[in-house]
Amino acid sequence: MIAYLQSQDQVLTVRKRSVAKNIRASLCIARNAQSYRLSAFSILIFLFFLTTSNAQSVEVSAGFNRLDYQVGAGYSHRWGALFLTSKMEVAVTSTFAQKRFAPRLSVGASYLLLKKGQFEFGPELVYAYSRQRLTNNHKTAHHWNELNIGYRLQVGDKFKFVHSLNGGWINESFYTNSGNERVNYNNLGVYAQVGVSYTF
Amino acid sequence: MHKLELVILFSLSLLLSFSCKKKEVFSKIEILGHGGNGLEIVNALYHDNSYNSIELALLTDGCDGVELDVRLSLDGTLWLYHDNELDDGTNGEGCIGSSSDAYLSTLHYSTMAKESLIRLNDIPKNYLENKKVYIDGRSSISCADSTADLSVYLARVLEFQDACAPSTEVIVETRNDQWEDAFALAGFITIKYITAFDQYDDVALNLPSVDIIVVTNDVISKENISQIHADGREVIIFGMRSAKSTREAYRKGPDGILADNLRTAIIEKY
Repeated sequence: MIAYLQSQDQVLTVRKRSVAKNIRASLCIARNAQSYRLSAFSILIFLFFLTTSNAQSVEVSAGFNRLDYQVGAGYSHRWGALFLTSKMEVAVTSTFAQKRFAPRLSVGASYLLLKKGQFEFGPELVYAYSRQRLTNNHKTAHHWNELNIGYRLQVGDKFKFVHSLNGGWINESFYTNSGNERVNYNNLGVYAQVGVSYTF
Repeated sequence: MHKLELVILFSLSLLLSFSCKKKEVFSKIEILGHGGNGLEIVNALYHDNSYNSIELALLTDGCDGVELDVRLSLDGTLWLYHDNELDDGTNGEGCIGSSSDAYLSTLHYSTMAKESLIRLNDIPKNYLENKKVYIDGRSSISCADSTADLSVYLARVLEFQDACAPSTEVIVETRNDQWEDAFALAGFITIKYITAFDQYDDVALNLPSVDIIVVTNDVISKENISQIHADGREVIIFGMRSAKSTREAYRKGPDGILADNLRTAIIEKY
């Protein structure tokens, strides 16, 4: 009898595991489907920008935020005074001095409402995400989200000198060293950059 | 345009190739966050010895413990504060040793985040499990030109140690000879701070009970550290801010470092 109950118990445990595995698999499929939808959405937005904007430009920049010095390249679209930029940067100390790749991806919108000759100036709103792995454990990598507001100015015709200065919110989040708790720290952020852009 | 795309792609691949090289491994070196998450660095999110700075350090993967600057208040409570006088970095005046707990509770650092001053006992003990707590025992009360009460200080540190989990290792460094002896008698390991390696000869000859030598990175070499190791002592070095100086310090083979830039120190180790 005891042996029978034990075997039933084992069957139940196996079934529970199997159900849990199926749930996990379904969740994974749902997540993948969601990410495909997100990618398709991003591509559509990109194509929309590409076909409707009246000017595009590329820029290289160097700047700093509270994490590190940042260098990178960006791509912008423009509709009149509205200027949308997406940019990829890397943290200089971490990536080059320490050989640990630390990317920063940002999207920003500027409204260059002041225009005098080759000089343009306006407010800017930028969201950025950075990631940095400290140890060999990818799970405990640190993530930073920034939402900054400030100004952007650019001077020039096809080739432009670009500068922006922003301040706002920075959030650092990571899984703790025990690996089972995610913690968040919020603080005031700052980002300043200078760069050169080429409009085509 | 095609040329431009190629240039961007080339630059990105160059960046990736630069960032993916294998590094040296310094797995045996312990990293203790100086004042929590680091001391006086521009990109620190929080002030040293503040709650958030210490919590952030203790929860970060790769951090083996924290160094804390501990001072005794007028009411006999242990508070964390690095400088001698409160007006150096807070909205207060005077010294920790000449201030009451009620007054210290109202103070905050003069930073953007305005972090409050905290007591040693404010640090959650569960965060300290399997960690090392390096107490920098600050004895002087510069405002009153006096010294904190040793017996009260020692009693409070012992209470703190008792309240911690057995896996927490509490070590105390003090630059006051009388305090050093008292802590040694109370069973703490003896840590000696030296400002130049010449002073080590005196330690080796006259202070056989010293277990750990603490020294700044710029005044000690790899050979010096080997000599200290040969005498059966450990070495902790500090004073590194940049990635380069941290790497140089690791190459000397110390047993631990007090990391002024914790994130940089962890990345450099792993």
